[in-house]
Amino acid sequence: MNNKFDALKDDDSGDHDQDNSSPKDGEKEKNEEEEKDSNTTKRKVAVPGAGEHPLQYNYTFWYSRRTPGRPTSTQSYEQNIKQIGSFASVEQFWRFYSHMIRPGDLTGHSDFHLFKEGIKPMWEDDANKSGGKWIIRLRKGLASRCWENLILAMLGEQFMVGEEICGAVVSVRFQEDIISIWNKTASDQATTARIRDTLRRVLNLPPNTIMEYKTHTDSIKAWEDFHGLVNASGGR
Amino acid sequence: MSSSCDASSTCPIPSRSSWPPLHDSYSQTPGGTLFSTTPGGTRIIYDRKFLLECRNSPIARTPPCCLPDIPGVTRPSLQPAEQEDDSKDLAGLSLFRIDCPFCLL
Repeated sequence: MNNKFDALKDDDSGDHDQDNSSPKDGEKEKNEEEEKDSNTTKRKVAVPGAGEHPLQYNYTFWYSRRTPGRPTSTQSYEQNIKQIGSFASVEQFWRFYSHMIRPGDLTGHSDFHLFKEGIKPMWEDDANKSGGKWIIRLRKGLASRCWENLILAMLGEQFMVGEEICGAVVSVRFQEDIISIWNKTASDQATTARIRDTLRRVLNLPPNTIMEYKTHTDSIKAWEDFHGLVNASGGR
Repeated sequence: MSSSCDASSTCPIPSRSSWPPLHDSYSQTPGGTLFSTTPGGTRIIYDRKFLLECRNSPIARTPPCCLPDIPGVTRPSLQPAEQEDDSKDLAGLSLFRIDCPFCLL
């Protein structure tokens, strides 16, 4: 499973399935072994500073971008997803967030990902492999506000589903934007229902906004079907 | 949760005076006791209003030390008028306030 899920990003959002998401520049804190470690990070771990308000978890911002029309490959995608930084407190979060462009002002086919430290925004990460996500498609103009409300709710532990939340993604696409929130256990209906209810409460969405839950496994199958990986008799 | 009480006696619910002081930013949550008293300790919960208020402190406005330079994505200096439009969104301000008669916070 390498880059074969890239095409789904047009239909979907935030579906990145990469073996290695390490950036090639802009990162000065990591050491090499983190890039080989698929599950944990050995980088210097963010800690709250003096006088700062600690978060329940540390988080990492990521950014990815794909040039539309250019065929994707594992190598090009790896180069297009970068860590922006990690934080452990409310103040550190704002330091990053205030120095990032708002999603509504991003150009092209771009995504911001905000995931708990140690969880890569990829399906194959151990935290994600049995998981899924709620996705919400938004008309243009809403992404910045909704993304902010979504991540404030996540950072503030408003979802109240224990350890289940993995992270959130905002995806800027041609005629719509998509926000999604990933959780660890797709089959846990109590958790997914509670996440859905919290999303309705905190996002102030337009009426008739549709929320859809997708397991990552289903997304993988959809990609395989889309790319004709099913043979003529319907087998795989 | 196990209890050593037998059927003929009662166990008082621990009062707040016996708990460690809570951060004043803790917000009420529905079913708050379920998640706020986990075996590992109290969960850190912030409401949207509080998080937004933290944004203006000086330590929250300096650029992070290792911000990568990605044109069109990151910016080294803050723009003026950084406030979000939804700070005026009164509906948004109330979204995180949860009135729960059972909450102990």
